Amino acid sequence: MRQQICIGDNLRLERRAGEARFICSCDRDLGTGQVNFKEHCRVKESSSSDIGPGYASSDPEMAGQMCFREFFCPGCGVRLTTEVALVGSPYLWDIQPKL
Amino acid sequence: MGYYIGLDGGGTFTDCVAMDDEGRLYYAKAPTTKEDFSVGMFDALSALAAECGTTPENLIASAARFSLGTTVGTNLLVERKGARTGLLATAGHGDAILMMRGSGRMAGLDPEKYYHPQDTNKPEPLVPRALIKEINERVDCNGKVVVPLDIDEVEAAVRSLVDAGVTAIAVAFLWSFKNPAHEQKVVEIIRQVAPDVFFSCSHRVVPRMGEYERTVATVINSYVGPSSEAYFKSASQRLHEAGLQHPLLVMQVSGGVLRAQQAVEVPLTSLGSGPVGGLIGSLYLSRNLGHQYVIATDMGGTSFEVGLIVDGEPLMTDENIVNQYRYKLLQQQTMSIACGGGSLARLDPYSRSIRVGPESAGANPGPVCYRRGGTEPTVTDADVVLGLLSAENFLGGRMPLDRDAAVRAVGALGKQVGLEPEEAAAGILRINNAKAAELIRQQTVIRGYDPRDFIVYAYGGAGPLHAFNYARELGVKGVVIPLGNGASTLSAYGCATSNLVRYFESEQMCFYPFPLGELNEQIALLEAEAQKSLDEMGNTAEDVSLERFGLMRYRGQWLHNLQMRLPAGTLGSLEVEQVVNDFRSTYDKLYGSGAGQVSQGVELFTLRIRAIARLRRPKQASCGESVMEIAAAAHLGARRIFWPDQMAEIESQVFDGRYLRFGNCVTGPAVVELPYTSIPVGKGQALNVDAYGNLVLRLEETTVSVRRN
Amino acid sequence: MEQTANIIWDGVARGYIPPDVLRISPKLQLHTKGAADVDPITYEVARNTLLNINLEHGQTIQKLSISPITMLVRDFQCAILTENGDVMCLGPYLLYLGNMLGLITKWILENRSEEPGIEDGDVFLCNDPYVGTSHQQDTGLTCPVFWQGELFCWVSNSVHYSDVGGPMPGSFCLNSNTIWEDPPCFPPIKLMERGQIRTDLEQLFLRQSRLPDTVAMDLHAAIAGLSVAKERIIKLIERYGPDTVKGVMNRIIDAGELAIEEKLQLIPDGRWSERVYTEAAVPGDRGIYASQINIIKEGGFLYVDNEGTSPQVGAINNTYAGLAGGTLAAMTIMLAYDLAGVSGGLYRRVKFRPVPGTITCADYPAPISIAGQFNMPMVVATATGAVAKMVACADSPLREKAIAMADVHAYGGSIFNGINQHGQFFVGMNAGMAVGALPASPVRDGVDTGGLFWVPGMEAANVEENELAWPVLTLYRRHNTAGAAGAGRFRSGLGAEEAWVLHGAPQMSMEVYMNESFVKNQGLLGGNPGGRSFFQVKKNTDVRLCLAEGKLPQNLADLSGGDVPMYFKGPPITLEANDVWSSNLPNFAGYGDPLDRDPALVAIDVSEGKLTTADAQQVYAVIFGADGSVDEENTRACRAGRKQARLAACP
Ligand SMILES: [Zn+2]
Repeated sequence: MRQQICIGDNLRLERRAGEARFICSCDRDLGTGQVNFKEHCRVKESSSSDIGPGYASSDPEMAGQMCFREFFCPGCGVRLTTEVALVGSPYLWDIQPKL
Repeated sequence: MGYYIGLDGGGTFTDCVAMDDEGRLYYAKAPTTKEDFSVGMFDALSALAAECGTTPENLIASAARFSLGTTVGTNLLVERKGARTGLLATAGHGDAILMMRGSGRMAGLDPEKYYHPQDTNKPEPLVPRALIKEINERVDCNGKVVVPLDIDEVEAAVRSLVDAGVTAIAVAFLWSFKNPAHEQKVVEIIRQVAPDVFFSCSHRVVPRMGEYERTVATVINSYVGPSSEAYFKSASQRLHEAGLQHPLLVMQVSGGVLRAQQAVEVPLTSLGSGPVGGLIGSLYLSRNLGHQYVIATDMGGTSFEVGLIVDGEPLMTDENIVNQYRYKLLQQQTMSIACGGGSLARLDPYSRSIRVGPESAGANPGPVCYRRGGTEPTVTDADVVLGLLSAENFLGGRMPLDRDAAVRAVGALGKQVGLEPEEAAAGILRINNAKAAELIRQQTVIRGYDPRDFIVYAYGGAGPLHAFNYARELGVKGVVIPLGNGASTLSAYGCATSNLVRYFESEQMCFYPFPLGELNEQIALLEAEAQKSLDEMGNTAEDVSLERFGLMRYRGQWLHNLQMRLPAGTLGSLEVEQVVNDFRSTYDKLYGSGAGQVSQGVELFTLRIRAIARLRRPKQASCGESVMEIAAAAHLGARRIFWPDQMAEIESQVFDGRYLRFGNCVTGPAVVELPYTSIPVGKGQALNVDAYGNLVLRLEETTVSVRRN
Repeated sequence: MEQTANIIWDGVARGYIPPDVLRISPKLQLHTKGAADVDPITYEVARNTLLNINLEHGQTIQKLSISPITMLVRDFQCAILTENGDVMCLGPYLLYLGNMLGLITKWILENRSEEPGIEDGDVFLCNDPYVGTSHQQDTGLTCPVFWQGELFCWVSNSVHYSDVGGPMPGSFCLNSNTIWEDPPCFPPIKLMERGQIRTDLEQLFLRQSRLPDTVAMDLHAAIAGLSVAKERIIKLIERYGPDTVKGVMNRIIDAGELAIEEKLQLIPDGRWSERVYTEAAVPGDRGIYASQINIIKEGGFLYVDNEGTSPQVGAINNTYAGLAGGTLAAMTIMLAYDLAGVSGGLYRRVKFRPVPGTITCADYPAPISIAGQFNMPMVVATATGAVAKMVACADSPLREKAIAMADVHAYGGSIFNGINQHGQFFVGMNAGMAVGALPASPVRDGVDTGGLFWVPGMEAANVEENELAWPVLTLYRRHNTAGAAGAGRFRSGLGAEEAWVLHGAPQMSMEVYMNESFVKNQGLLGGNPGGRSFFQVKKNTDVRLCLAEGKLPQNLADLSGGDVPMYFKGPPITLEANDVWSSNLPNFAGYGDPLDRDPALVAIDVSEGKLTTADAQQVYAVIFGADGSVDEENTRACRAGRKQARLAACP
């Protein structure tokens, strides 16, 4: 039915050669729909205190257990999604539409 | 011959009313001219003079009083054409007016929108952040100065605002109503530094608690100030040039008039006196007719407004919302919903039923039958389909309506839910009337009143047309179309007949047992101020009085209060105890026995003094002699009307309301046509003309006495 | 989820999940005959009346209640339910309470219809979270409406009562490890029997409270609301007949369901998740815990579970009622936004498969009393993230309704008590931060201090109202800036902050406050998360000196004195004359990559003083020229460079 599913502004799931694949707006292929697209992103992991002004923690020990992950398209550098996560936890597979 | 003239220039038409020395009423109207209001004003006065059988010059020169109602302020606000306004606020609190207590995104909107965040937004700021200056000063909840006013900072702020091009300034400091010294000092500075700038300060505009609402009131006052001032001055000047001998009076939302020179101080109190005008007109009429309980209803093209008269007094409110801005100001309360002749009827695809409103066709394109390009059926189209509204005689025949188009549009909608055009039209009216009845319920029952004790006054273009239906829905005692053909100028009638009224308020929390010394002292202060103002009103008053009230509530009950009358003289503990007992028993009477816990404390948090100067005016003239026979000229013939209450087409008599006389009685099914509206008289109902020209609709199984004189 | 098959969701050992077919005693006759052929006009007239009856119910409570904060923050709800306890519509108040009224009512049908029986004139009271409340303070009342001996429908409400007992004033018991350290739980009791209040049971309930008079007035306000609603429904039945009214009620829910079904068709099948972290199960605990919600959309249904959520622990728990209520609140806003509160159709399309024994679906005897401040906003936030990602994958126009995450813990709220300047004992709840903020969406910025979308109509108290009720002086209450927090292609609305000093009393005690040690909010599809919510106390400052010298301090950093190390949850602290404290409600979540934000929008924020040019450059890579306007060319170059640098930094 659907030929593609837009996920926000840059990411989409598209049928290519009979298979659903994640594609960036720059046309970069981010892998099959069966796998978390985050695995195909460039990932920057920083302290949850360092996201920007206003995030600094008054309790660095607690904050140190958490990190901020940014998932960039390796093709164009756009930031597709972010996570505030426990250090060492696997990426949350949070977007799994079916085409 | 002297005339008491009221003129309301708020709407599409400038309406005016004159009462002569013998109490005879004359009505006229002319299109409002937005570019220069005085053109419309003098057009209307010329028409009025013709009605009175005199010249405009003579009419104005022989005016014993001249009162003006206007919506100039409301228009400025809605169209965002007010003055460039600056705001001085207490340091640390300049954002209050922008934050809007977090509820500005939805304040005053239909509750349906509450579930739909993406369809709501805050209104444009009245004052851009750059024009809000924070001043180092602080007063606490007892009125004690915590930080003195930084005078240099005030001077610099005023100068920078003037440099930024403001023509009006609002001053609203925290707790200024407990201690106005800082605001007063700022006024002195503004007078020196920027003598041409319009200013207002919060303790003068509305000395009530709640910095957000008080700030909004003050800012709006300044925002509409310069233009309102110019408007009043120019109206005053033009009328005096035309020969007016007395000071021009301006209608106030609190229900009285004030001299123009006093009204310009607080133009906010003239804001929106349009909707209130009809209520004020109803009030004076109700006193004439001896009606103690009245539901005043005004249905126009887009909205339905309701106000209440209880025990002969209009209900007041101090919470108002304009453009999602909530502000405090004492005014006669009217509630409004989007429900009128222009309300659109649409299919709800999920339940296969018809919804009516809240969307409206407005004036453009308007109902389908107006031939202005409207394609979706409206309530007015339904009226035309049923035959309640004559396609030929609309606006006295000046604007023939396209009935076929209305039938097509209503029919197409009906077809989708399996209804014939007439059935669908009747259904649209039933739904619309149910909504109107629901608003009236909300105004009465939630306050503890029973609608069956009330009489409905119906005016506005669509009010008389639908009253027979929504009034029956509520089981009210009867319906009055006030002044008959004069119903469309009721607001101007209110202007012509009202007294000079001013309210003085002060807010301080008193927990029972109240501190008597402090309370009496406050009352004395307020009454002295009120007396002074009455003296300033001049010697036109033949009857002057001060009345005192206390706003009371159970401790912690922020969202509700009752206004209790306080006895005259110095209050002692016995009097206070009586007032508290009255409060408790009134509360239980309204909300059920035991609603208030005896152990719960009682607060008196606001004192309110009403100063009234009753103006002399003639008693409204009545017809001496009643005639049973309806004049031949009044009977226009008959037509077939599909009655929504009978769900049947019945041959019905048609009358021209202008020729009906005291004593005439029209029995339904019939329609009485007037130039600006029509009055259906249903089967089993009867319409009587009373001695004052009011049309009194008698519903089945109830009676309302017809006033003879 | 096979594991849930054998679990007994009985409302005693575990939260109550009603079965598809209720086990109701044959003693109770139900009215089940709904006319299928009500004409479209009567339908609409009756529908309008029913929705207004529910509004009148809510307005009655608001008018007669005497708990100002409860009413300001709309911490109540009311509903009309069918004879078997299905919610037909709820009011424009705290959304997550809606479904709970259904749970309580269904539990009563199953457990009270035989003994002591359900009769005309009865009103049941219940504050047991395992039966169906969000926490004990949110006490539900539910009232059967009978017609000629048959149970026709129910009217119900839930109101937050100021204090229902337990060791802490306000009944938020941060230190509880079991329900026995919490305020008491009352499973449904018959507060009114055949039209008469059971004064013994009323007193039993009031006796637990530190504020029995206040709670009594509020309870009577709630009863008055029920009476109004019940009376009007009876009048409606008298006019149109029971079968017609029931037919209308059923069709209202059916129509709502149809509207939901149409929206679900715009969403592809799939699975979406969100995870939000919280901390400190009790004061002093250094643990970090996860709340996760997963939504599987399959055809016309949504299946919700909370797998991935931490096991129940300390005081930070809610029951099934909270999980379902919070999830449905987020869904109401993004899927049922055009249904005027008719949520019954939505409820039919959502199936829960919860994992028990978790912080968002705890088993007895986990304590629940603090959920109103901590868990409930967290559940709504978690659900918001999952629903928003799902809705963002939908076809237009539904995708525009996605909304990013709001607050994870209740709007920077704090709870405190003491003796005020009038010599009265008070329990205060700061509603100043109830100004909220509307988060970003895929098509527009949020709204600054735009309230909380899941508590429609909520409003903050005026500063003057606070200063009259409590012995405090508010040094400032102002908007946050639009820096990194909540940035995105569309940014969040701005939150706010305020600072207080004591005034008119020598001290007071602060029991509940929240100083997040890390940001808990999550951004939507590339947007920045919202900011960190903080609560800061500075002891022994020179604030009095400043005031005496005629200066109103506008910045905590400008004051002398020491910062007290604040934990997310600390022990109660005593605030004294020279202390200054401040709460911050951060901006909420942004949407999309900040580098994709229209530079013109950035320029507007700068011109309105909401954003510094330094932040504009750092967060949005927007460069301004000497004349103050956007330097388009340099901005383009800067943004391209930033994107390149991102890739270079993480190979
Ligand atoms: Zn890319």
